[in-house]
Formats: sequence, C-alpha cells, structure tokens
Amino acid sequence: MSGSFEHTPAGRTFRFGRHAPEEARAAVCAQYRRDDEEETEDDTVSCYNCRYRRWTVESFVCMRKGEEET
Amino acid sequence: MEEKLLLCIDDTDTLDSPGTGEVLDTLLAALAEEGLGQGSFITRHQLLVHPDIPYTSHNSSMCTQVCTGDGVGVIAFARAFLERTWVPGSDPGLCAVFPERLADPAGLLAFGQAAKERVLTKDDARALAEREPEGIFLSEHGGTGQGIIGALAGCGLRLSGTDGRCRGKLYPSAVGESLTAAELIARGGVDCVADPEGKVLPGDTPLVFARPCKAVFRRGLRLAVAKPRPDGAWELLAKQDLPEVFLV
Repeated sequence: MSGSFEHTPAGRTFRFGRHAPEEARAAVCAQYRRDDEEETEDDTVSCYNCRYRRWTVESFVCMRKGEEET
Repeated sequence: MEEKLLLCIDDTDTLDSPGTGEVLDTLLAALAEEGLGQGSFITRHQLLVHPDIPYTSHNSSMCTQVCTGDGVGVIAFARAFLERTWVPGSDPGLCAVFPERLADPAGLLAFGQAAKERVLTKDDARALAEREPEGIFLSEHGGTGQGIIGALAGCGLRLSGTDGRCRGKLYPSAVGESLTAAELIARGGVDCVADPEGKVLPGDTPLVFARPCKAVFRRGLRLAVAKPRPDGAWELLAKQDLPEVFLV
C-alpha cells in the first residue's frame, strides 16, 4: 500500500484528509478515472476527483480494484 | 390539467456505471420523447456522509420537476425505466411528489433536512409516504432499494427551494467575456446573479466570465454567484471557488 493510504475499518483510507490537494494529486494511480463532473472538486487529476473515491467524514476510501500504482 | 411533479432518484449507480445525474438526464430525455412531460433543471442535494450509510461515493440524490398532464403515466414510465436500467450492485429508489397534493408539506421538508443531519431508514421513508398517499409515491428498483431514502429526501430538499446546486455548468462565449447580469440571465441556465452572501445583483451589473461557473439552488431559483473585483466588475465563480455554504 502506498504511503498515501492506510488500512482502516472503512478500507483503504487516504491519510491526509479532505483538504490536502497536493497530496491527493500526488497519490493518483494508473487506475485513475475521472468522476462525473457534478462530483469533482476541480479540473485537476487528483484522487479527490476519481470515480473510485468514496468520501468519508474525515477523508476518503479508495475503492479501486487491485494494488497497481504509478 | 397540467401538474408539477417532483422526481428524484438515488443509489442508481455503482463504481463503474453512469452516475445518478446522468441516469436522470437520460430518463428526462426519454419522458420528453414519449410525450409524457417536460423536465426542468436538475438539482443535486448532498446528504449525510456517515459510515452506516452505504452510498457509492458521495451520497447525493438528483431531483427535477416535471410539468405533465399525466402524472400517473410519468411515474409508471420512470419506474419501468429504472427497472430496465438497473445495474447489479446498485440499490435504486425513486420518489415522485405532487407538491400541491401534500397534506403536510412541512413533513417532507423536515425529512429532507433530517437526511442531511442523521441516519434515516427505509422505514422512516415509508412511514412518511404512507402519511401522504395522494402526494408521495416511493418505489424500490433493485438491490436493497435503499435509494428510496435519498430519493424522498431529495424531493424534500428540492421543495424547500434552498439547497444544493444545479447540474451542469454555464460556459462563457469566450474566456474572460464581459457581459451584464441581465445578459447572462437572458441566455438561460440561471435565474439571477448574487454576491457571495446571496444578495441579488442588479441586471446592469458588469460581469466577467473567466471560467465555467456553477449555479446553486436558492429561493427556488438558479443562482450564479459572483465576487467583486477592484475594477468594479464582478467575477462569476466556478464551483471550486464557491463559498462553503453553497456546497453543503
């Protein structure tokens, strides 16, 4: 698992919370897929804008399949 | 006789299927093609993010208003549409509301607001629908049918007139375009322009349209938000620049 994520009861959880845009861009992987425009934060390629991002109260869980990373 | 009918859907998607907004777009197009009614703009309503709620990615529902002379036909068509397009792994719910037929509109408004603050159940949703047999029509269309909660809540939030944002973006004719508020409104897609506190700006207000902007839903209207610039013009705000109060 990359340094950006940790295992929690919710799943593969982003360590840096919901307000870390640089870290969210740095954590983008080969499975990145842009979410519906209504659900994206901005125009960047970022985990915050990925279709596999599932928001939690404090951060998000990565719902991607497999462990491949860039 | 034409009636207004709110239509809201939730939990129609999975990680790999079209989003709920896209599903509602497609449904509206099909309704229009069938001659059953014309849908208006779609609003997105953010519901509670909580570990006990099994949403796909963001827990929001999508709602629209249809003007129709055949409300029964619209509801039947929408139900059949969701049955036909069900994606394994999704838990779709549909809610249709005739606002004029509600015995107690405050109950629906309260449900909508409650869905933003605490975890609600299908039983909660069904109980409200049972109290409004003339005005509220709930249906499950696959999986757990959990989507009826968000669908009912979305109708309540749309009925409130002040929640959420409008699906889609407004695009300038050219980057940095200058126009007045009245000219922007005349293009369609927005009903008024306001400052970040929500105060409506006059029609002759000079605007700068630098980037695609997002309208929010306030007082029953589609509101574009603009911030003042040092040169006296007002800059229309993109979604990422909207004050937090417009995004919850």
